[in-house]
Amino acid sequence: MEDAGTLPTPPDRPFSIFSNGGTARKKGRNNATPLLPPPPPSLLPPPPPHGVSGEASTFADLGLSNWAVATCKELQMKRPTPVQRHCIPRILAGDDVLGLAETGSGKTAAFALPILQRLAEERYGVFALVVTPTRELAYQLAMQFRALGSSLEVKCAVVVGGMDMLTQAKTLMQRPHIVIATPGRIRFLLSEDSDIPRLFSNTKFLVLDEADRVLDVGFEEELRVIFQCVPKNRQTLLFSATMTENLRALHELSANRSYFYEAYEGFKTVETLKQQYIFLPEHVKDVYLLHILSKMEDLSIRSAMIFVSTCRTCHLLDILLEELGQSAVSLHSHKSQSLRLAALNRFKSRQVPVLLATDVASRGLDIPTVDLVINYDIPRYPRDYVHRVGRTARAGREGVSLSFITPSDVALIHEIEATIGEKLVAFECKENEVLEDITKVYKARRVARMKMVDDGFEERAKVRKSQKLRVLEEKGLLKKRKHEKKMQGS
Amino acid sequence: MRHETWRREWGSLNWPCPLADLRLGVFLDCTMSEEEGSEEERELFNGAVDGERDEKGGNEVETKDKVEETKKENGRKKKKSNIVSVEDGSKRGVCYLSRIPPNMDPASLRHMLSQYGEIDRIYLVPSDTSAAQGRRKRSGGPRGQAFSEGWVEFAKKGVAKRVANMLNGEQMGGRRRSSFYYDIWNIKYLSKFKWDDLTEEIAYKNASREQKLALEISAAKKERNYTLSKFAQARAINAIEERLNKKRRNGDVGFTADDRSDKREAKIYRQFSQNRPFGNTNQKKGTLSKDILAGKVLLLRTCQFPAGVASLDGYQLLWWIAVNSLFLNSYHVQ
Repeated sequence: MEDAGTLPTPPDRPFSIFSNGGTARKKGRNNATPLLPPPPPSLLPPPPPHGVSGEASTFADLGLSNWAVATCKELQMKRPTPVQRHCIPRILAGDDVLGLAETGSGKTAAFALPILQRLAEERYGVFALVVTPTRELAYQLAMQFRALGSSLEVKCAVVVGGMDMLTQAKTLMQRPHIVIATPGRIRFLLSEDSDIPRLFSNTKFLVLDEADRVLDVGFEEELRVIFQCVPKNRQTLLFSATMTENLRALHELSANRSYFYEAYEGFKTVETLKQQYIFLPEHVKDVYLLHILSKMEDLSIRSAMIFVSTCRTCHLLDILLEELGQSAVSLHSHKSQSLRLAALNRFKSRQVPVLLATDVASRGLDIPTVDLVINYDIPRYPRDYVHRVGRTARAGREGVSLSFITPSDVALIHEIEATIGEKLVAFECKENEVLEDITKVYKARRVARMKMVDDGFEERAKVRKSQKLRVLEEKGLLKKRKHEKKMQGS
Repeated sequence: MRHETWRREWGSLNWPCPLADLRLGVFLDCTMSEEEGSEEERELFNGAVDGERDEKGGNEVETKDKVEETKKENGRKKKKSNIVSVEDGSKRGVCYLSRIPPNMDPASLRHMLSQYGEIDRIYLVPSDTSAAQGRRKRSGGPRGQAFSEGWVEFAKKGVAKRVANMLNGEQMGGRRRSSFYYDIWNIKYLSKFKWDDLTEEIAYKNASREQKLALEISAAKKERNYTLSKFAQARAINAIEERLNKKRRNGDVGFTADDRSDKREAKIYRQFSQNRPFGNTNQKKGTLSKDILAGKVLLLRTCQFPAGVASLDGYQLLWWIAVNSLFLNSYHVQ
């Protein structure tokens, strides 16, 4: 880091994800191989004799200070995971890192620990900016930073949409150490308030968590604003569980300038996860769902997440399960942020065993008690499947995923199986038992639909849709898509 | 004796609709009997009581004769009175209150108005809770339920008219320490307006909902029967299939040719249209601009050529590039 500022930055690179200064001195190093052992930084003690083939097996060996090691011990993190083993020393050494590892493999700690260590050496204003795609994830990250930095009394600010903007601006002005933000809100604050961009002028770290989602084309404008505000000699860290075209392009463009850790090729789910499916007609999904939820205790499942594809289905299922007397909370973007957080907290604290969610909850959320993930609808993107089932079987624990496959989803599931390189196995359940409840469920479903009409969901959905279209149009994404459709049609 | 019952349920009253469905959160104060010793003119209790009226259903008119026990506050002896009321609702009058002062609730309103005449039913509309929440946050501490407007039913039309004329625009007064001492009455007699007019719409909605629900439930039953029959059919087909397979395995006569069984297996009952996966290969969303990814201006926006650029003719293509290069240049400016 010490020579970072002295290097001239090429003028023709106005925006880039990886900083220019910090990476220039690493030129020529081939980082493509994941098995490359991390070069021990000069400040590291020599590897202990019990180290397996030169790889660090404790947190202390990675170059972390005593307080960080003690915190890890307190948090029951016994030994570093592969992604932590590889990435932490490189981040401490000042490299830009692109880390790709499966769900629940400790990516958050892999960037949080070195950032906190650097922060401990040099405490000031906004030290790190973490950008994450969903609001719930931002709150979770803040909690993790607080937990890992408990001995530092680290100040975190969460800047997300749906919460009061003035309070957020005020907290930012108090210069918290770490800012965790969603792209839209931070961009708004940066561009509206002229005082705020100055806060980030000395930021050392820019982290894009769930980088494949943050680097989506939908966030292009937001990223532009963010990159303009953070200084050039920062370190950029990208972490994700899945690879996309954007990430691959980025990797190709910056291969010799940054460290790239990839635990696997493409997409992978964890081995402790048991992936099952039920083949069923569309209109008995609810019946099967109720049956499985009522069987949760027999299957020794502490809590379950149910993923659906739309907010509408999510809301409907919420009413339906309430009608059927099954306690559940729902998390989708048609709810206000406070309700979303309340629902998530009730689920996390195990007051409610079932969480209904759209893909907004499919990434990053770390709830250890989740033993079952139900894919009520099969996602159109195979990578969404990988993220969804990654909510369970985290950190080496066991977990079950169950996908409801209707006759129309066969192609989707074949695609998913091809992507993850694994076959799903059939879930055993007795049809007769399942169909016992059919009368109850069908009746409740009708009532739930009526209730949904009564509570004005459709009108709210309409308003939201028009808002969304307007935003997309402003970003210029809408026209393009329409254009494409026309092209395909002709 | 003074016993007030605050009920949040419509069921116990004459109102047909449960509160939750109304989504108004109505406070209804149905004072059964309220006697104050100081009010000499109200010695007798005229027995128009909401609860009882409801129990008796439709025939309210003739069954109003009741023995009411009323008790004087200052220890006077009990008085038994047998009152035959000939009420059919046509005698009652409704007044409208356009503003309810803060802190006022049905009980206090009844207390204030009952000194002028017999009060029957009171309905106050709670003000918007979300707005109240914001206010509460700002000014600190809850202030109880606030109401925006209300209706009061007097037992006698004439009394209602007189009271409204008398009070409207006047100071509420009462005890000096009362919080609405300085508030002004905003009361109007509603001519040709009955209490039922208030509830009519709700009752109608409720009835139609009930009707719809019944329809829906019968439809659900049909749907269920259909589904179950399909499941039974599937089971039957599977059973046949299994039996045939078994026979074939046992080498029964008539099933020597394997191709015949193959044909059977290949029989397609129905084709389902498949949901197409959005793979990574055909990313419809397009990719991020390369300048974001690496800051290489030359590569800029190459990915944003629309798919149909190839089909444009030379002139159009030139124009397209010219327009886009304008944008490209603008990216140099930081």
